[in-house]
Amino acid sequence: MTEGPGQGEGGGRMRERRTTLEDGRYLIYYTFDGEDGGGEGAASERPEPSEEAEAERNV
Amino acid sequence: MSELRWNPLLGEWVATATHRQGRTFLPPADFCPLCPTKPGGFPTEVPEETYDIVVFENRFPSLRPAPPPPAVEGSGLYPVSPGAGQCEVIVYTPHHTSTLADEPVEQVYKLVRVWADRFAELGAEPYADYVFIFENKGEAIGVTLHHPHGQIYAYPFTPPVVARELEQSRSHMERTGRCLVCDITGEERRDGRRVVAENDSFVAVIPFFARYPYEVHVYSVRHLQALTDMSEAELRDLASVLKAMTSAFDRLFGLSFPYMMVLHQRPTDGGSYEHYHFHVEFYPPLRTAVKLKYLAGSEAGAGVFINDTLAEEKAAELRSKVEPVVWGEGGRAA
Ligand SMILES: [Zn+2]
Ligand SMILES: [Zn+2]
Ligand SMILES: [Zn+2]
Repeated sequence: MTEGPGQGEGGGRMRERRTTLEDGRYLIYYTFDGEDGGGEGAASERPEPSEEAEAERNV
Repeated sequence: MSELRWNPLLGEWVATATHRQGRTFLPPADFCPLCPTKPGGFPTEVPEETYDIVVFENRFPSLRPAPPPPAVEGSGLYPVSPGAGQCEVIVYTPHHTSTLADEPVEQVYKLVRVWADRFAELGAEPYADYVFIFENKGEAIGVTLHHPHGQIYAYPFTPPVVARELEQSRSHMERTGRCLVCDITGEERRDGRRVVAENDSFVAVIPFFARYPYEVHVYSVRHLQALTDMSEAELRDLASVLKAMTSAFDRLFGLSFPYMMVLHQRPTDGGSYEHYHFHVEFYPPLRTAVKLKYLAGSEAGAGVFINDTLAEEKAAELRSKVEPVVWGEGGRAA
């Protein structure tokens, strides 16, 4: 399993479970522990953008 | 069964994939091979009763890690090469009728993290000079499997479209000392008319040079080359902007909007690509709710796209359909 920078914090730990299908192909189940990949906490960690920036940053 | 044939006229490879399509057991008519396997039900590609995100090797790959020798002999004019590489299917969600746009942004974030993992893992394979992550969506572009999924191809060479972008990026860097995509992003933000959506880490635009009416490019604000260069905040912001764009597409005509979505990242052949810049491109085939843009003579035979719309107008139209992405709502959109 590869962990990108800082992926352990907040987003839930990503785990992979590797299996082999009958014909020899691999199949990987990805699961995510803890919180569901994000959450309000993570969103509010960001510095409050200025009003001007807010107008531009629509997503 | 599968091989690479060299096209000396264009200087590029063609992958052949001539697989036997016969199957011993025919699945039921409403059978979806990407759904979880129901207890006692016909086995799908995914043996378990549920999953979150699943990746597996394509059953009929055009590239494989240990490919058979080519079916034909090559020549000096016509080199052939084994189809070395990998073809993966990535299933976004167990929910058959969902789409990327309909999934909660948290699920899109999971997908983005799986993409990063696949890029790192496949990119480390000796046969993989380039890891190409993409999605074909909708019957309009020939997709018959509606379950939300994408694909990943690991090619034994850098594909020509990316090679051309790399060359343009390199010459721009040599000429100006700056990154081409950083300059494009700067120009689009200064002008503003073609910007569709924006957050701290990404800018989505219908670029000045769009070939399709609703062609959207998503550029990272920071100069970086791959998903694996991104911080957690950037991966989240990528999920947000992809959720925002796919949802805005669906609101355009009140239908599930078909598109091709491709990720353009640096090659994984060990070279240095500091002059390149990560981005995502969407090529939607629709011009209107009922009109398709076909690749016709000029596009397919001359490489000249005729776009009969103004990027500035289409961007304004699409921007009006963008809504804020909310994290932590839980559940799936109806
Ligand atoms: Zn399904
Ligand atoms: Zn750049
Ligand atoms: Zn590109």
